[in-house]
Amino acid sequence: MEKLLEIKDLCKSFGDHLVLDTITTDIYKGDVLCLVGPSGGGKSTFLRTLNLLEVPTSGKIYFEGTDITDSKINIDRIRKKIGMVFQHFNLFPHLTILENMTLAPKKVLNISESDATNKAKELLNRVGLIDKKDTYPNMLSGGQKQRVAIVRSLMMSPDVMLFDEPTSALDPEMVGEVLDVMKELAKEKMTMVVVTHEMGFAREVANRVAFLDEGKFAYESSPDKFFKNPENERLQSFLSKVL
Amino acid sequence: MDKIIKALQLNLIKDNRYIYILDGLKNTMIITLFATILGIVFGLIIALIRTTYDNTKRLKILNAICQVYITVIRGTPVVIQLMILFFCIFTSRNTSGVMIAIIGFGLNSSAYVAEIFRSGLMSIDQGQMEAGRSLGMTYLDTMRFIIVPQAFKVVLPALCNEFIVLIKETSVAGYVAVQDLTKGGDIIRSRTYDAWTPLLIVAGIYLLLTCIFSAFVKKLEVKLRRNERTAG
Repeated sequence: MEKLLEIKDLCKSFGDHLVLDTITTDIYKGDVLCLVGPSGGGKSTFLRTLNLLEVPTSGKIYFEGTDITDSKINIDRIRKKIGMVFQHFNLFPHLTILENMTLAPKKVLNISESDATNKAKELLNRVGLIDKKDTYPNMLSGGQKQRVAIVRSLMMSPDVMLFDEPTSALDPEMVGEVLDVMKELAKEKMTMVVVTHEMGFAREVANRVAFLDEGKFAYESSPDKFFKNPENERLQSFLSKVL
Repeated sequence: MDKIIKALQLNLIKDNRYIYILDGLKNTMIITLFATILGIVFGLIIALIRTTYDNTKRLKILNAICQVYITVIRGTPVVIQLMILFFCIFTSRNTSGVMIAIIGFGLNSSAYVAEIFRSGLMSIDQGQMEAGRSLGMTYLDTMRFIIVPQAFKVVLPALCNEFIVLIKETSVAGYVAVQDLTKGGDIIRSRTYDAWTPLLIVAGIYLLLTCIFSAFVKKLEVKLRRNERTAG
């Protein structure tokens, strides 16, 4: 299988606090990697280093063979291939849903207005939000906002999607609609890295689940083994608390 | 009553003295309007430099220059700044006083506007920048299309207030031989030897102007708030 992301000896500290401790792993094309673990374990920080929203203290990250930690690299050209979905959606409140989706494709990919609009409508149709295209983000529910945020990222046709606790800020009844969109994506063989507390999703959709604790990949396996009989005491105690 | 009418006649009607007031008012408005525009353009540039430095630690030298600029401008009287422009820098008397006043008040205002804009830029959630950048947009494009439009809406009432303050501040333009509203009143006083009437008229006009714009700002604030509410 083709390696999409290669992470080598990745470390990140905030001041004296070591958040990521020498992480080495590969992410392959079509992987759905779920990251779970206690808060403060480094899940979000790890995810955010993958598109350099956090700059690693040391170590290397290769994306499609390019070392993105190299200071000479134009990170904007890398980021357009790495979609990201945030816990708090981060839609642009002053733009309509359609404008939210077409802004970056127009500015970054130089796609024409009409092509961008057509693509946006098609994606909105897929997530059942076409009737919201001309409204503003604040008119939408949390679940709707997050679905828009997902298709906004998809507008760039990314090679990998990063999800940073995409359902944590949602009311419980809206979690399902967002997870459904993510399941669809996984079915279409999108490479995904997902920080989540939704163990059901991890078990059902992921092909790899990793337990991040104290800045390390403390345990990683297939979801089956991860949830049934993990050979890691801290993970066992973590799972007993959350399941 | 008779006395008041007589005083008005003497100070306004006789020898068409009201022209001084009208001309002065025109100059005051021109100076205020263009100084505000200059202040907003310069202020925004300064605010962007300062915010960029705060966020990314880049533009260190430009940021230092901006900080010195703000300190000096805000720490010295505007009338001294005007006089330096008029008597030291633009010494050729071909330059119109109004132009010098626009530059002087514009630069002065930019230092205050810069801090207004900066507070607006800082008030926008960090997630907006992250969302823009994660879509592959450059720092500048993200600023231009995402951060600045939102910040502008936040600071609009404060900007209008700055405009109101500026209307009154321009009353010292007479120091550099500009015939503004205050100076117009002054000229009438020197002709009629009546101090009360022209000064009260001038004061009344300033008050009227600031009241009109204050009412406008209030309406604007209500409208902005209403947008927020209907928007959720």
